[in-house]
Amino acid sequence: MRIVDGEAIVSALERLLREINTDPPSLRGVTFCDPALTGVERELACILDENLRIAREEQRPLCQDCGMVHIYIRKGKFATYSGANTIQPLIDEAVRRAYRDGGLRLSTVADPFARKNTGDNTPALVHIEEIDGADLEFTVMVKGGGSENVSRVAMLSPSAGRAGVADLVLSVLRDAGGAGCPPYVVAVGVGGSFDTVAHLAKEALLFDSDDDPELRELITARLPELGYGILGFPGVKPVSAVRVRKAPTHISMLPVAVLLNCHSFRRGTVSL
Amino acid sequence: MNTIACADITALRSVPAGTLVALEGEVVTLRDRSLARLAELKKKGDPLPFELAGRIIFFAGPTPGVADGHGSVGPTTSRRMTAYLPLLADLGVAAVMGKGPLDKAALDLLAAHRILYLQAAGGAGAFYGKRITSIKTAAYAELGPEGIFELTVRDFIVMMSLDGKGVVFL
Repeated sequence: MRIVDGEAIVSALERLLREINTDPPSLRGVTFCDPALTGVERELACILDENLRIAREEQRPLCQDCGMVHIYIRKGKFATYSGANTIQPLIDEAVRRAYRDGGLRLSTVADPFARKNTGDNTPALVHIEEIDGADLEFTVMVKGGGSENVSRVAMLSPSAGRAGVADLVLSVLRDAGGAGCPPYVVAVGVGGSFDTVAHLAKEALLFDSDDDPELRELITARLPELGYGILGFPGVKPVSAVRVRKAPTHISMLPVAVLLNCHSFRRGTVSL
Repeated sequence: MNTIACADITALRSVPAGTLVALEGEVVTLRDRSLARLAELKKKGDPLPFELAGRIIFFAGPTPGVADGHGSVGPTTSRRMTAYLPLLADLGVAAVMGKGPLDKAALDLLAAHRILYLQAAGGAGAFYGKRITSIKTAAYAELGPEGIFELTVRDFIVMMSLDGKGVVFL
């Protein structure tokens, strides 16, 4: 059994959280101000590029909404850790240090009705996948409320097929408009059950899944129907990527989750 | 691009929808929790913590450190504030600023009260953070990012989305 030092996990995750809020690996080399864009859309795209530059150079958060912290752990059956009995307290300590002590915005409330801020942006949303071997890998994403709020889960009939899924995706994108900060990364989960399909969509974002190129192409071909572009104003670039993740499902079901991510796609990975 | 003083509402009302302008001056942040508190005070007939008449309301919640050269601030989704637009109209605000579309009823209500709708670029928190020259907590510090802040801005580039003639650009 390989034992990873708990404090090493906390400090690696703290570093990664600061990094993905200001200069995430997932946005390096990204340029919004495409020469194909014109008018207002181009001016706004240039603002987004300027935002990337300022955040990187001045270590400012890319977005004031530093999100909730999503962590997907791949844990080898021969790997464990010191410092705590379960992984959640180690992760929450990293979140606490990066957010409360690191000047990132605290955007988590303890109770959905009382809505009192937890004061340190914990708890992180943690998922653990057990794998063979002795590796311990953390994929971390921070995601704000704007694009979460325009996402949707639906239970379709199997007869709806890919065309029905594409209809749903287009409907979600139409309703979202500029509210969730396009150009969006569109993540579609298909299959599983009511609860797991939302998780499939999140995995599609975390791992750039392309499980069904036919569905991806069907959705991509219909994007011009939307009629909006960057930040929802008239334009041609509502979406920057479409990801799809599938799983086995029931003979009577076609669960679909459409999870949108804003242009500020903040993700990184660390292995310990 | 035209630079317009936040206090010069007459000049702001003459900017046509679909135009980018650079704001200079003071705006006041409000969002979910602070608006809920103001609504509660209004309902009880209690005085509000400060005057909002004639102000530009910015739907936003900043990160810490905006005044020290390392923070970020940007717009939050406006349509979540739709329920509070009648309150803001009652209080006599001059403009609301956020991101994303508003439905027709919300735009009609704003237009009927000659309230402008401005959109800042969503997710450009660092860009706008650099354009804040001072930040003052006006009320509800205990709400953290949902407190009410007076921000002094310069070269704060925003889109006119509902102009002084009632023309919409979304």
